[in-house]
Amino acid sequence: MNENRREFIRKTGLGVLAGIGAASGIIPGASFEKVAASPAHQDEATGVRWGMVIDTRKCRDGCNRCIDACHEVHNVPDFKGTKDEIKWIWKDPYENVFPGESGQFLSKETKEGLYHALCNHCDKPPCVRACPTKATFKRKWDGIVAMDYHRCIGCRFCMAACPYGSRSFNWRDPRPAIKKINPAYPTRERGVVEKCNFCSERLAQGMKPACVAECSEGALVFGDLNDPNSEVRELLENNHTLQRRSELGTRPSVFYIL
Amino acid sequence: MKIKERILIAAGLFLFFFAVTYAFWQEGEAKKIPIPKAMAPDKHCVESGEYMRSSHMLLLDKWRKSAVREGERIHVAPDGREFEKNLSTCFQCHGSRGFCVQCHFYASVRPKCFECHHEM
Repeated sequence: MNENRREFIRKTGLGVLAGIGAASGIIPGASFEKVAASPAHQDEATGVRWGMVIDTRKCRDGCNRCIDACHEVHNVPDFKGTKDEIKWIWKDPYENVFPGESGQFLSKETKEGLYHALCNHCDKPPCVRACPTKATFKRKWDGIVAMDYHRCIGCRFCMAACPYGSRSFNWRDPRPAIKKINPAYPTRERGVVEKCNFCSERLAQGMKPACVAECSEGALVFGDLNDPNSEVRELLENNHTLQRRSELGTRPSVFYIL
Repeated sequence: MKIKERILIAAGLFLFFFAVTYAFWQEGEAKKIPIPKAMAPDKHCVESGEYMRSSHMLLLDKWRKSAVREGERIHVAPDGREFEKNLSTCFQCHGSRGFCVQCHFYASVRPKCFECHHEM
């Protein structure tokens, strides 16, 4: 090899190395490893953030009044037990509601109990990120993860993204399966996804959500998580609570007292 | 050319022109444009009647967007009256979807409002 050429390659290589070294020092954005603190462990208190505390100790076995009330108010069709099932709020066993929690040496009561599941109205909702049409969105003013059924194209990305199974798809026309239609609330049509809306239509009229209003045991408590004097915050202050799958960093707004 | 062929061509041409000009042979008028009446015609709508006739779909679209996505559920009419942004607000005066359908049928427009919304 020509002596000149060898010298040229050597100098160019050194120059490139020196360049990379200088760039990583000068440009701060070029740092390759940057780890933000886990969002699940921070509090943000701006505006209203509706949330719910479910005191499972107070929930009676076999009572489904909250579920019936919700489904009646929102014209949720009844395809129970089939793959077409639509549910806004329902009850499931411990291992389904809290799949991340240890099941070792659980008390019989905990193991055999049924727990409420509903949309968690996450502070960092993965369904909203998945939706290609922005049919589902987080309301900036009160934190509710809402749906604009007009925009839903039925792609079901949100259902795949939701780690809680809180969303149902209308495989069939829901109207024939609604026992008693409530004319004050629209139904859905075939081909859209639906879920709990934290009763935003009742909140707009100053009422509490239907499930909370229906529960005579006080097992469901609703309020503003950002208001330090609210009933939910008081419960959170005085009890050990769980969020469903908090390890995912979705920051659910529904808390459980076991 | 034989006379037989000429007759055939003439007949064919006649049939062709008859078929092409058939639409112009019809006597009569276009279908009448329906003028639906509100159940409470003495009341004023949320905007002027003229605006509603031409642009009700734009108003409904605005209502949908602001109520669902921005949470502003109250519409203020030009004269200061307030209305809830809801299809049921319309039916308080306009009765039923029959009011909508008359013109929509004429114009062959088929909005899908009532697949989900109720007529009251």
